[in-house]
Amino acid sequence: MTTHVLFFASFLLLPLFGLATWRLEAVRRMDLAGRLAVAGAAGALATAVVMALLSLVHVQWSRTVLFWSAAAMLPLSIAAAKPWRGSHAAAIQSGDSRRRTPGLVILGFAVLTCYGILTARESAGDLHFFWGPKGIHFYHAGGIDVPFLATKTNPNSDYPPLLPLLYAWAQTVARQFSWWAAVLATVLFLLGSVAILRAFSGDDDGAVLLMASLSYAIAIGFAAGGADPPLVLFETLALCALVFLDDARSRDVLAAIGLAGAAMTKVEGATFVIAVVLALLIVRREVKRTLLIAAPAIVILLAWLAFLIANGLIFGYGGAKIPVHFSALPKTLALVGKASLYELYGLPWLAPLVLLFLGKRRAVLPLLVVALTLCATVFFYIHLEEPSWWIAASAPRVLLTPLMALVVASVAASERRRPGG
Amino acid sequence: MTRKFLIYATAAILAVALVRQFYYLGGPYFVVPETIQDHVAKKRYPSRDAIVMARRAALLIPRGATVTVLLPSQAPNYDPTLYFTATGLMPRHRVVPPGAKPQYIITVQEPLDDPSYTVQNEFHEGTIYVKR
Repeated sequence: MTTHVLFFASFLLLPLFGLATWRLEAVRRMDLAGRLAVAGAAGALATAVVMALLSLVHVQWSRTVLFWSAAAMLPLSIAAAKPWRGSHAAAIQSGDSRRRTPGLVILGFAVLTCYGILTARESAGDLHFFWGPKGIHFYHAGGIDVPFLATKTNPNSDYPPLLPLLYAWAQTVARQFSWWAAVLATVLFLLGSVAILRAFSGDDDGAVLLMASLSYAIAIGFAAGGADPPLVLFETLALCALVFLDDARSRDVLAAIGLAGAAMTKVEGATFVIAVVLALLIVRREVKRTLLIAAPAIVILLAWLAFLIANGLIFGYGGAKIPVHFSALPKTLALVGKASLYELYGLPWLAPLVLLFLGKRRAVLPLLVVALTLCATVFFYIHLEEPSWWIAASAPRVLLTPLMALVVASVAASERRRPGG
Repeated sequence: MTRKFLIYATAAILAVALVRQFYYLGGPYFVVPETIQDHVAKKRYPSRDAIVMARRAALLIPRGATVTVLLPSQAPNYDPTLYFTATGLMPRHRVVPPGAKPQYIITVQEPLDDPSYTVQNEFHEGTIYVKR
């Protein structure tokens, strides 16, 4: 039991390493849940980057090394977050804190998700196929385990390392790997995504829609414990910052953190970065600012690619060379369309679509991201002549990104008070 | 008002659908499962038994030994996810693909018909074989 508690608690520690984000004007004005979610995402990224850098310079991880690294990060984070205390009185609550219904509904979905996870009804197969094993071998090797990544018994050796690094971090704290705490961490990523949307948009009802949609889609897609929930957290952070924040510094920094986290979590995170960059260039036409926002993600991606090339580990990224089978397009569209119904006539998509039509604002940026990520999903799949199995196994999870972006678009389309704006 | 109604009606339907999904995956509904894969399908997944068997084998097979996990009836196209699973549960062993003729073979659900291996331990979920 101690292992499970410590492993899970290590995820609760992550916001401590991202407290520096509380210095940002927009974050200072958010409620505690929003601030914790932002700090959690930033802390997860910081932890993964520090562990990767230690590994790169051949400093073997241990409790001592990681705790000293954390201890070095903590004072910086706390000092950076200090100004928040003075402006606490000026902090505004996102949404209407007197309204209890949205909070209760969100809590209800969190309880349902916890039930589904703890009775083994939502677990991602990929957790024990490779995300978990990678984390465990990284922990035992005290760094990114290149010989293990190179073995034939480890699929997807070149998948970005953020989640295995976080699992190795948690195992360092707990000494043992906890499969149950690993799947349960999904609830934290889910609640983090919802808290970010609520805090950035001030829309309690929109947050309810995101919680309901993601809870259901994660269950249908068996995504718990895989990389999709943390990916969605980072993507929500990036997209909400770009859509809802008016303070330029806060917007740019938080979007950059979100994009960097996404790029370090999954291959699909890199396509999300490309989608956001294209959408920004089309909608806002600010080349320099767009490139600055994407710069940390690009640096992380290039560094990871350089590491893979140096160690002969290119696999999925090398898929770009695989020929595209346009003959598979009709079948792919049909199968992706079927998967997108989520066994409920597509309700998770229909609700935000109707809200978009009811809304009075234009939500071009998130809608472009929806369109581009959907196109990217289909483009990935038509790299196989017969993609049926691949689509059945992954589409409900991969579609979490455009689904989240569509809900964000539907919230952006409605007229609400925006605490971050 | 329309917006609010639509959102909460959707949430209510999704909550019911979520409960339906949990129910569909089968009982028992209020018992702590043995593995994280126990109820991901109505039918017991081989990967669920691979988790149970690899966990046991980690204690029964000497560290450093070569080992694989397979479902014998799938020969020669064995499901790789079974031995992928073992890599996380047996990090002190050398997990290899079935073709590598390892020192130990863990079968799930079915017995192995290979004269070069003999039974070491038998369980409800599968059997551990050692090379003769």
